[in-house]
Order: sequence, then structure tokens, then C-alpha cells
Amino acid sequence: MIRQSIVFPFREALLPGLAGLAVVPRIGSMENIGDVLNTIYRSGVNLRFLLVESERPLTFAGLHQGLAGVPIALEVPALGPFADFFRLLPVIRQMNLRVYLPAGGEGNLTSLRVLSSLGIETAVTFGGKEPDWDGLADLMTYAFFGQSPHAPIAPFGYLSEIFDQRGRNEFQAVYFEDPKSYLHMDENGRVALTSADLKKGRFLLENIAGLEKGADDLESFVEGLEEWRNHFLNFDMCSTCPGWRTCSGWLARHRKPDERCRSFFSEVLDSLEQQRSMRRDPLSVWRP
Amino acid sequence: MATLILKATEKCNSNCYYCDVVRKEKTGQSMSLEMLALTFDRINEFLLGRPEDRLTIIWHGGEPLLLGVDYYREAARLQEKYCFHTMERISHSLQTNLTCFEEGFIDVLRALRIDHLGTSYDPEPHMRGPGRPCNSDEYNRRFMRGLRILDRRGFPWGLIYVVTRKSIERPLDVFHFLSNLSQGRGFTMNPVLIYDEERKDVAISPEEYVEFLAAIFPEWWKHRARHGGVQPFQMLADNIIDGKVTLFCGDSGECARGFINITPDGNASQCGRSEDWGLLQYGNIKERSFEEIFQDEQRALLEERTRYLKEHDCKGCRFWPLCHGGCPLDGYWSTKDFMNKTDWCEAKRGFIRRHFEPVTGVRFDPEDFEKRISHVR
Repeated sequence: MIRQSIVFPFREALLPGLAGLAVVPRIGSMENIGDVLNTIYRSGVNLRFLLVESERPLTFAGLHQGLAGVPIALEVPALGPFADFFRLLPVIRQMNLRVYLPAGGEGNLTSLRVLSSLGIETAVTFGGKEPDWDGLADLMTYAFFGQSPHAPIAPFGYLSEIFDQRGRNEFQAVYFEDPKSYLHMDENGRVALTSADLKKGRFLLENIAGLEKGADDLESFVEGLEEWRNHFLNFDMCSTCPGWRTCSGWLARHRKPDERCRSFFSEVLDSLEQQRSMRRDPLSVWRP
Repeated sequence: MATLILKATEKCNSNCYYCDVVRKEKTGQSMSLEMLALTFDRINEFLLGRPEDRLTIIWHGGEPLLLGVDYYREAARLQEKYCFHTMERISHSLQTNLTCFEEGFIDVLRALRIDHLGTSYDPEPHMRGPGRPCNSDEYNRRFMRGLRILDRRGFPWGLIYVVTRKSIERPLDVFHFLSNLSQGRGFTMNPVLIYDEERKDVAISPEEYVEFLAAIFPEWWKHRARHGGVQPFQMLADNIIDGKVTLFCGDSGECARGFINITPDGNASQCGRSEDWGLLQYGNIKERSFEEIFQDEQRALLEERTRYLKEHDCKGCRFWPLCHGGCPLDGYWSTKDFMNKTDWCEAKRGFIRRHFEPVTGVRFDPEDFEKRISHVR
């Protein structure tokens, strides 16, 4: 039995082979989304959510009332003009949406905080332009300790849920890259553990049909889950990182590790511990 | 509690730079099943004669897992055959480099009631592995494969790290590496012990060891819940702060009557190093019972050493209850006389006085500790 969701570029021809499975179709824009959804609903797959990789800012990404309730992970480069955003806000609030914004984009750290404070789930993405690490640390502090009600900001909210003080804390599931939860399929139906493997041509199987009994018994699947150990074959920036428990080397896929990311993830680890201890020993606030 | 260090084989598949075992004049011997049967027979005889006592077997080498799965299966059978009425009082541990570990060992080791493996690792290249210079790439890959099997099967393991000159260049990096790898299981950082001129390039002085620990200790102390029981810090915290009494063999002042080392051909000695150096040899188990070996008159020398040091070299030292003059073999090395305290005295004393006590804000109270030791004894 396949327990992972299958992330794949939306192609109608691929749907029959995925019938009965949880799927995450990837589309590049909201254009024709109505047709896409109809095709998906008719095909017999279980839509986990739509992954929309839009090149337009959130305000111009094509969100509309008709998508209310449809689970969507929306990757956008920026928020867009505030005035337009606030006009769209009533629509966005009705949606089952998580907005992904790159940390390095200008103004995005502020946008993430604004969205979160308005109750909209968000996620920070890495890669592309170098983030402002101090600003990112501020956002992390807000995500963990902000007193006013706000929606979770991934990966911080996710880390907070799964945090194990002594173990590894992997947050790549936020980005659909955890083989325990997601497998990736290309337009030819070939299956890989991650999108990076897909790009490199490192396939787990040539066809999804080979996964009938699930992936757990496949040696390459098990090895893929254990890739984090390879960091310890070297005495390098990742394996010696004080914050490794919160990153597990994941960021090294997107940028060359250095003191800045080490320092940031050390702070994430300290904050997670702090948050855990605050939950255990809640502050008693005196009230009249 | 008696401890038997069982050198089941002298063969090793690695050529670790600082290891003395691989430098010994090699016999390449492994313990025959007949000798193993005799060992269990002797253990049984010993435990029947001491109904209140227990015995721990530490499987050591060489690389003990080179003996293969079938050997350990047979060991479990022999234990059951020869120690049927005493095996409840026998416990086992095993020290391996994990590089030849395979899935098949898990059930066999569990049958022998080995529920924890001790292993060791160096992040620095060319310290461990086959060949010269050591092929650490190959070694590391195989080691990680072994860890993967252990973790997948939920088999506990612990890590020993040897502090060398290479380590002292990057103490915190070494520490975080080991902490990340061991994921809260804790680990032990022991100083390298080099006794020849050829490998002086990796040797460190006691003071350098102190500085290495000192660079790490504040981080461990602040985040000890994260890092787990890292030695020697945890043991000091247990003894000095938490009211426990846990001392390593060399610090206990009681190693005289508690340890026996057995080679593949059945020769008994005090410990691995005493065997390597031809000291404190207690004969062969073919001729002598364990009780006779534990009562060997040479052991009185070690007891005498403890009494002597307390009144002489270590007189008035407030850390005496924590180290009892240290390992007799360390004390012997530089003067060839057992009536000396360990060369590593300043490492322990200096670390506690200059770093442990100021960082923790707790001063060691020898009188209280002595009371606790008496209570435990």
C-alpha cells in the first residue's frame, strides 16, 4: 500500500495510474484551474492539495471565490501591492491556503508576518536570493513567541510541533520533500524520492505500478531516508553545526553552508527549547 | 561486581593510527570455542562460589565481530550450557568498530543478552580505517552502515572519541559533530595514550586535554539536556552535584580485585594494557580458577598503592575520593613503579578546579563524597 502522497506535474494522462492514491498535482498558474479541478475530481484520485508554483505575486496569482475550500499550497515570489492584497483579503480568508514566500525576496519577511498576523498560513522558502538572516531570526521569534494570535509560519510552526530535543528534527515535509510523506513523479510516470532526485534522474521506479506493495521494502527507499547520515562522513560545516538538529543538513541543498545559517539554526534550536520549557512551566501572570 | 575483559580475538580489520592493539607483535589469534567453553565453565565456578556476586563480560579485541555471527551464536549456547544456574548474574557488553556489523548479529547478540554496543569514531580523516595512511573514507562508510542497522533495529549504542592533537584544533566542532551524530545518547571523550616516539604527532599533554575539555564544558553545561550524558562531564556532575557515586575503573581505587583480562589463549592479566606491557600476569585459566586469579598476590600491590598514595603523593588532595591516584598503569608508565599517581592527575584536578567548579558554581565536598562512597560500599 502506498501511504505517501504523489507530487507530479499535472497531466491528465497520468491520472488513471494514480487512481485511489493521494496526490499533489503541480501546476504553474491558476489559469484553467476550474478545468484542472474537474479533471482531477473525475479521475478517482484523492486530492491532497494543489501545488501552485506561480510566478506572479499573491495579489495577482488568480485567487478567487470559486476556490474556497480547495486545499492549495501557493508558491509566489512576493505579496504584491498592499492595497490590492487588502481588497483580496476577504477572498483569501475563505480559502484553504498556505502561502510560500522566498525568504530572500525584498519585503517578504514583513509580508510573511503580515499574512500570519491576519490568520493566513505561510511558509518561508529558501534558495534564490540570500535572506536577511537577522530579519529571518526576528520572524522566527515572532513565530515562536509572538503573543498576539497569528497563523503558523512554516517551518517554525512545524518544528514546534515535532520538536525532539535530542533527536533530529526534519522539516522538509513542509516543502513536500520528505519521502515518508511524499514521493515525486515526472511527466513520464517515473518515481523518485525527492524533486532533486527527479531532476538528477535518480529514480526509485520506472512506474508507479511498481509501488503496489509500498516503498518501505525498497532498498533505495530505505537508503534515501538515511541520506542524512552522509553528512557525518565529513567533518564539515553541516556535521559540526550547533543547530544541525533543526536543519539536518536540509539547507545545504539550497546554499553552501556557512556561519550565517549555522548561527541561525542554532538560534532556532535555542528558541525551540525555550518554547518547550515555557509550555512545561507556563508563566504565571498576576491579574487583579 | 567482577569485570572480565574478554579479548576474543586479536585480529582487527582496521589500522587506527593511535591504537596499540594493531602495533602489538601480532599473533592474529582468536579464542577457540574450546577455550570459550572453558571460560564460561570458569565463570560458572566463580559465580557459584560467590552467590551474591555478578560478573560483566566485556567482549573486546582486536575487532570482536570479525569472529562472525556463528561464533556468537555458539557463545550463547555455551553460556547456557556451562552457566545454566548462574547466567542470570552475567551481563555482557561489546566494543566494536561496527565496520563488519551485519543484520544477522542483532538476534545473536540479543540471545547473548548483549543489549548495548560500544563503538568509536573520529570525524578527522585518516585516523581510523584499514591501510596506512588509514582509509577513513571506507571505514566511515562501513561504520555508518553499521549504525544504520543498529538504529533500524532499535539496538542501543554508545560512542567513544579519542582526543588527539588533531582534536584540540577544533574542540567545539568535534563536540557538536559527536553530539549531532549520537543524538542525545551521550558519548565519551578520552585522551589518546601514546607510548612510542613514532606517533608523538598525535599525542597530547594533560594540560592540552584540560584545555580541550574546558572549551567544550560551558556549552555542555548550558545545554546538557540537549547533549545527553557526555563523559567525563556527566560523571563529574553526578559525583559532585547530584549525590551519586560513579567512578571509572582507574579512578575507583578498587580495580585491584575487580578485573580480569583474558587473551585468546587463556592468559589472564589485570587489564588490556597490563597484558600489552607484560605486567600483572595471573597465569592461564587452564591451570587457575577465576577465584585463584582474583586472589593472586600481585593484586595486593595495587591495594598497597592506594594506601600508599593516600598517605604520600596524594596526601591532602581534596580530589582524592574522585580519583584515588588514578589508573595504576598510567602511574607506572613514566617511572616503571606502581607507587606513583597517574600522569593525568593535573588533567582531572585542573579541570575540576579551574573549569568545572567555576562554571557550575559548585565546589566539590570530599567529606560528603567519602560518606556516600562508604554507604555504597
